[in-house]
Formats: sequence, C-alpha cells, structure tokens
Amino acid sequence: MSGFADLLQVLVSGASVGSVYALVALGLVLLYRTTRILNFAHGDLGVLGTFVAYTLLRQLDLPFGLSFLLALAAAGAIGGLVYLLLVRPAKNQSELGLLILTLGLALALGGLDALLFGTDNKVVPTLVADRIVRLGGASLSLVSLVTAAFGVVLMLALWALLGFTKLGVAMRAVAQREDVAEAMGLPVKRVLVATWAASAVLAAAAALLFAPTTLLNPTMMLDPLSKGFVAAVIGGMNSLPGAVVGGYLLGVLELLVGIYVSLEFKASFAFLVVVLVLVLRPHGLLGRAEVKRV
Amino acid sequence: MLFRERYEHDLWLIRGSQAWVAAGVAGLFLLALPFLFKGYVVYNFTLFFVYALVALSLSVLVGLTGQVSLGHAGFLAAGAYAQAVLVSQGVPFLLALPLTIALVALLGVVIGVPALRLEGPYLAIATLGFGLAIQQILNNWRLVGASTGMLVERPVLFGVDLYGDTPYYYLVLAVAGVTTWALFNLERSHVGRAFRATRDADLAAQMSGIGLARYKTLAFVISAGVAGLAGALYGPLIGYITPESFNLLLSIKFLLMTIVGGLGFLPGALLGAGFITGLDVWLSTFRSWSQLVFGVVVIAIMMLEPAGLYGRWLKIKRFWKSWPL
Amino acid sequence: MKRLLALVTLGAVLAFGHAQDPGVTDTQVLIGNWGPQSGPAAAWGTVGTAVDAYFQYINDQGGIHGRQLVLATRDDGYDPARTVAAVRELIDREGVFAFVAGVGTANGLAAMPLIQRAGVPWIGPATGSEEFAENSNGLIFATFTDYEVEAILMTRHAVTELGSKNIAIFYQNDGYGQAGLRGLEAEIERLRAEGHDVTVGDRVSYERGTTNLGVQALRLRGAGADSVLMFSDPTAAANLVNEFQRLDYKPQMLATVTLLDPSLLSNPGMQGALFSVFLRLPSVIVGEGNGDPIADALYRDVIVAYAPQIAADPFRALAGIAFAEPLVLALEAAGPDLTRAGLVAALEQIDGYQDGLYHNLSFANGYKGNNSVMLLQVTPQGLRPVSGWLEL
Repeated sequence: MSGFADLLQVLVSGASVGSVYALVALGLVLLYRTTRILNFAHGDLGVLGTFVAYTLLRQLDLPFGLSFLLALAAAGAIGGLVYLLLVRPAKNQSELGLLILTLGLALALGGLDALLFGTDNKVVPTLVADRIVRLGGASLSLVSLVTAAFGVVLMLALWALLGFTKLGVAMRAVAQREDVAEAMGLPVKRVLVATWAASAVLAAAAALLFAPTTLLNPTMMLDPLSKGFVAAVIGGMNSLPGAVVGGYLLGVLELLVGIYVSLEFKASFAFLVVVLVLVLRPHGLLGRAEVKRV
Repeated sequence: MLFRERYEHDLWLIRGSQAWVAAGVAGLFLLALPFLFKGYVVYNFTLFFVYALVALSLSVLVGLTGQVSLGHAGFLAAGAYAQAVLVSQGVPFLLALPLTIALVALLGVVIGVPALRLEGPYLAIATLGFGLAIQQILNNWRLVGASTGMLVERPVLFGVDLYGDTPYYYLVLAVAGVTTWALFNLERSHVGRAFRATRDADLAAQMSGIGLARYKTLAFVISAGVAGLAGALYGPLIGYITPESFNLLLSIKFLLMTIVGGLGFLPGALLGAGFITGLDVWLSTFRSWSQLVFGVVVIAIMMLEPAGLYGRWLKIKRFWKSWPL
Repeated sequence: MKRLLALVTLGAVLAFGHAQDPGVTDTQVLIGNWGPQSGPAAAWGTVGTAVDAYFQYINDQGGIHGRQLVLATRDDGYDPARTVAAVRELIDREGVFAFVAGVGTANGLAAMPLIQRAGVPWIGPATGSEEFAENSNGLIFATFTDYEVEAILMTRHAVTELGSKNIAIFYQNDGYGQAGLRGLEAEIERLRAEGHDVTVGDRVSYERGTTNLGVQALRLRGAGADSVLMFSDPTAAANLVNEFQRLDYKPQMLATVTLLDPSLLSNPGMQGALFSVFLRLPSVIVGEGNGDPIADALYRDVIVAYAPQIAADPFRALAGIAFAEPLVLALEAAGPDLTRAGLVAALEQIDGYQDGLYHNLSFANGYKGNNSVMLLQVTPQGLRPVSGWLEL
C-alpha cells in the first residue's frame, strides 16, 4: 500500500465516513453543551428517522427527496417530544440520571423499531445514482462526494442557525446559564425543545446518509454512535467546530491505522487516540474547561 | 430508629433491633435457599451475587467518588480470564483469587491514573474505550483462546467438588458476603468520607488535606479489584468465557444496576443488581417485546424516582415509621 | 399449586409404574429453545419464531401421534450467562423433553454441559461450529454444514472450476470467520500439493459491529486477489461491496450461507457472486420460478401463514424450520410411546432423507447430519445453481 493515489483514496474514503461521524458528533455536542446530557439514544433517534423515510419511500411511494425531508421533520418532532414527555418531567435531573434515561430510551426505541419494522436488513437508496469519478489515479464515488458535501451543507446551516438567528443566540444563552436566561425572560422551554429537535434532525441526517453504504436495521447506528462520541470527545464536548474536526480526523485516522498498523486493533485505536488527546488536553482539542465555583 | 441522632448511630452498620431482625431473616433465607428452591433459582441467585459485586464496585467508584465508568465489563473480563489462566497453569483456586484481585487492581491503577485528569463525559467515553479495548485484546490473544474463549472448570476445595449448584452457591455467597461487609465498612471509614468529599467538593477536600490524586486512584483500584474478584467467580459459574460476552451492553447494565438501585448508596447497588438480574429473567419469556419493556422500565424509574429504588425504599420506610405524624 | 400438581403427577406415575421422561404427556410434548430477541444480535431471534410457527403448523394438522408440540423459548440477549439461566430454568422448572435450535456458538458452548448432564437431546444447534457434533455424546444432532467445510468446498470450486490463482478472504474476527480462514488455508495447501498454482492473496479481518470497511477493501484490491471468500455478516458484506464499487474492483466473490439476505442479494455489486447453500431455497430468495418446491411450500404454508412478521427474513426463517425438521421426523418415527431414548434412536436411524429442506439428511455416520453444499450464482434473473450438491 503506497503512493499518492492510495493516500488520496484513503483521504476521500475517510472523509466520507468522517462526515457521518462529524454529523453524529455535532448532534451530540449541540445537545450536550446546552443541556449537559450525554445522549445515548442519539443513534436510535436517527435510526427511527431512517425507518420513517424507508416507510414513506417503500410503502407510500413518495419521491426520495420528499421522504428524506419528511423523515428529518419527523425526527425533529420526536426529538422535541422526547424532551417534553420524558426529559423535562423526569424527577432525576442529575447528569448521570439523565444519561441512564437516554440509555433506557435507546433500548426502548431499538425494541420498538424491531417490533414495528422487523429486524431484517433493508436497503435504503442513495441520494444520487452512483458513478465513479477518476481523480489523480484514485477512483472516487459520486455518492461519497455528495455525502461529504451534504454533511458540510448541514454543518454550515447549523453554524448559521446558531450564529445569526434569534433562536441560535437564545440557545447559546441557555447553554451558558439556564437560570439567568430564564430570568432575562427567554422562553427556555421552547429553546430546549428546539435544541432537542435540532439534535434529532442531525441524528436522522447522519443515519440517512449512512444507511445507503450499509443495510438498515435497528442496530445500524451502534458503531457510528460510539465513533461519534469519540469524535465529540476528541474535539471537545462543548465545541461545535471541535466535533466536526474530530469526526473527519477519526474517519481518516481509522483508515490509516488499518493500513499501516493493524486491522485487528483498528477500533481500539480510536479509543487510544481519545486517551492520548485527553491526557494532553482533558477537554478535547477545541473544548474549553469549565470554570467551577467552590 | 429512623434518623441518625447521635454520633454512634453513624458508626453502627445495622441500626436498631428491627434492622437486626431483618438482616437475620435475610441471612437465614440466603443460607437456606438451596434447600428451598430448584437449581435454576440457585443459579440465578449466584449470578445475582456476582453482579452485585460488580454493582458495588461501580457504586464505590461512581457513587462515592463521582468518577463514572462505562467499561466495568472490562474489569470483569480481566478477572475472569486472569483466574482461568492462573488455575489452568496449576495455581490453586484459593491462591488464584487474591492474585487475580491484585492483577486487576493493578489494571485499575493503569486506568485510574490517566482518569485523574478526566471528568464527566470525557471519563465516560474513555472508560467505554477501555472496556472495548480489553475485549479486542482478548479477542486477538491466542494464549487465552482468542475469539474461541476458554472453558472454565469449577474447583475442588477441601475435598468438596464445587461442580454442583449448592456448593458453588455457598462459596460465592461467602465471598460476596465478606466483600460486601468490607465495602460497607470502608464507606463508614475515613477513606469513605474522603471519597465523598472528593465527589462533593474536590477543591475544598484538597484544601482540607485530602490527597485528591491518591483517593481518586484508590477508588479505581478498589473498584477494579472487586470487579476482578467478581470475574474470578463469574468464569466457573458460567463454565465458558469468551470475549464477546464482556461487551458494552454488559457495562451499561452494571451502570444501570448502580443508578437504578440508588446512586451513592451501597445497599442501592445490591437492590439494583437484584432488580436488573430479576428483570432479565422475567423478560426472557417476553419474546420480541423484552427489549422495549426493559427500556420502558428503566425510563420509568428515572422519571419517577430521583434516588432510585433505594431512595424509594427509604421514603416508604420513613412514611410508615413516622405515620401518622 | 404447581408443587401439588407435580406431587399428584408423581403419584400417578408411580401408581401406574410408567416411567415417562419429562415434558411428555398424552396431549403434548414440551420443547425448549433459546435465542436473542433483544440486543445487537436480535435479528437471530427469527430462528425461534420460525420454529414456533413450524410447530403451530404441525399442530394444526393434528400434531404428532395425537400430541401437540409446545415450544418454550427464552430470550438470552446473546449473553451466555443468560443462556445458562434460561437452559437451567427450561430443564429444572419447565421440564422440557428436548431442545431445538438454540442460537450462538458461545451460548451453545455454555449450555452444552448442562444439557448433557441432564441427558436432554438437542437437535439442530443454530451455529456452524463443529464443536457440537464432535462432542455429541449421543445427544446433540447438528445439521448446520460447518463453516470450515463450506470454505473448503468454495475454495475447491474457485480453483478447479473457475481457475482462480489468487484467493483472499474477508472474515469476521471470531470463531465463525476463523473457521472459514482455516478451511481456505487447508484447501489451498492441499491444492498446491496437487500442483495447482494458487496462493492466499490476503487475510483481511474486521471486528464484529464495525462499519468503516474502506481499509479492508483497499487491502483486498492491493493484494490483487481474483476471488474473495466472504465470511462476514450481511451488513459488513454490504459495506464491503459498496466500497468495492467505489474502488472499481470486481473480484469473484464467494459468500457463505449466512449472507443469504435479500437486501444483500439486491445489491448491484453482488451480481455474479457465488453463494454456498446447505438448504433448499424458496423463490423469495432465488428469484420467482427458481425456487425448490419443498422450500416454496414451507415458506408459504408455515412462514407466511403463521409468522408473517419474519417473512422479510426468509433465510433465517427457513433455517429455523430446517433445524427443527429432524426433531419432527424423529418424533414421528419414535411412535406413540415417546421417551428420550426412543427419540435418540429414531434420530440415529435417519439415513438419506431427501424430502425435506436438506439435500441429504443422515445421522447414520455421525452426529453431523448434513455435509452437502450447493453453489448458486447471482444473476439478473435471481440465484441460479452452478454446481450440483457438493460433499467433502
């Protein structure tokens, strides 16, 4: 394995997977920095969204683009409902309690998917018909390029949402100090619903982009979710750009390790990177330490 | 005796005559259990003791010092494999137990030291990675059977073959009982108080002369050692160990036990381990509904009871004892 | 109440001096089973559901010798500790007469000593590991063609029929995948000794559950392998094939029976791939009109009729029926006075049975009842046989 063409190939393949990791990480970080919840149901929210898209496509014969958008909307609605019906009324509001709540939700959603849609594998079509594009000796797939591009578009949209809209400013305010934001008259509840919804939309987008490269079943997002966590932690749990950097970095590094070091330990390696990064920077590459009061 | 009114109350492990009666009845029940029920009940209780040890070890780490771990299946695996390898190399079972505890405790140092710098989600994900790494190392290590795993025999101790359910049940009951007693005492000692101080206010604890690094690492060491001990008992109980069994789902279940039982209370870990083990047995006849119901039960407990099952128990006790006040 | 009933039953048995094995009454036979209905391996829960459907189908036709078949199945979440709990409970409390299917190699190995100690017959472990037939002790009757044999037969076909010079393997890093690797290496060594010019191009593994398989695809292409054996799960195979397409790499693929998943078969990248199969297959897998009539009938009358929720997973569903088939045959043959010894004797007499899902079911020469594999090729018209039934 050598040469420029191979390296380019690795970079493109890695970036394609990396964009899925980055999207998952973005959703996780968006939710975490506002609510301090490590959401283990994130992957299952995405899978549920993908099942919605699949049902619309296959059962109702809707066009692909429309199914895709409706699935994103459905995921957003489910995300908001999760907050209103489960998280907000929960009496255990400790960080760990809410983490366990999302673990329970992950199991419940997985079980629900299996009951509603079956455990058999399903094929989700790609956004565009695949073609091979040749570039400098490497063969690139149009679908990978579109996946990567779509990921970037979503990330830019999120950046615009947070930076330039009232809702975005409110989200940031709630992220910093929920009580003060409430005292200043911000509709904190609505902001949190919006945060959950946006995070679930990102989860569904990641799952929908990922599904065509594999097969759709209730456990599809297990691996991308754990990689998304790794990416988020590498980048810093409270840094959105960090999540993106972490995602792409992980996607490419995994492939490089698989080629130059060992296939067997490719997955463990991801976590070795985490430990190394964290020992040097305990709050991730781009994250910031929180100032604690005694 | 409902509330702790005097300093001595804090020192008593079992408070009041009623508590003594309750503890006595529970003890007698556990001692008589193999004569009252069929083999599969005895097996499930033995499994519960093993899981209770892991839940307790996690409760020391998460509940007392506030360091979260999503990789405790890794310590369980390390214990199970260390014991199996030692015994297969001719080390007597009872000698292998402390050696296993020491080895896994050492592993606890290796994980605990880098963990010092981490907190919250960063520690959760790093420990999750530790559990996965252990699984993959075992999966590729020919010496311990790689993915095929290892067959583990039950030992013969003092002329008693522990092959049957009942003798092995008593061995695990004895080991788990002593360990539980030791951990309950640890909680009440100055070490336990130091643990809680680092959890509640690390800076203030440090200013009061508690060596943060020392106590946080110590918590990891104790936790790993106890989980390793559980592993050493787990292998001979199941009879066959394979890397696949020690997966993330098992780590998650251990964390569930600790938190569903009531975080920060050691008795809660026992309740939680019993509850989750029992739930698994109960749901095994639910066919494709089992996972959904399991998830819903977990959600319900988190939504309804902030302090877990043990918190609910304390509330019920308080209600009855203070009624009609 | 249950205890009282048990006492009464015991008394009745003593009074009539009729020593009957557990799980059998005049009206029913209780059969035990376990499998993952929850957790990451839940897809294999299909096997238990299919066995249950098959029993209902038989019961609706009057049962066997007037007895209804009752399945007591337990969810073990693929966790051996829970398998042991389930098997213990099925033996101690439910008192099952025999076990059928039972998913997972590790789970089966944990359960095996318990089942043997209790002297319960176990028919059709749902795993291709050779351990079960080898340690049968006259109680375990395996029917899954073992993975090593599959790999040997696929390798032989690739070299002798397709002229392959460089074979690589893509395998799951566990007992299943490594059995495939062993088979490939043994057969290549044998073929080279016979004078064939062929090498193992590369051995490329992946860890179960991982999804980023770009490297594996690059390694296989880099090795210049003209054929690739695939010992993976359908998801990983779909991943790899998609990567192959991106790399514009088109080796001859040879896949194991585990990969017979309609969603994988519909992948355009799988065109021309060969599949090894140890069961007769219905039209829903091999394409309309190509199906075997026996498999078609069972799929229609059992799966679609009694368990439509698993109809979208036809291979695992039919495999479930296939695991139970020897049991049903032997229950029939053992006659109305049913005992475990009678069942085992009837199983051992099954020889050259060809009217079921297996090409040739036979326990006359050992506890591995089925050693035949057929190779099928994916064509635009569906799966078409390219070989007859192969045996070692």
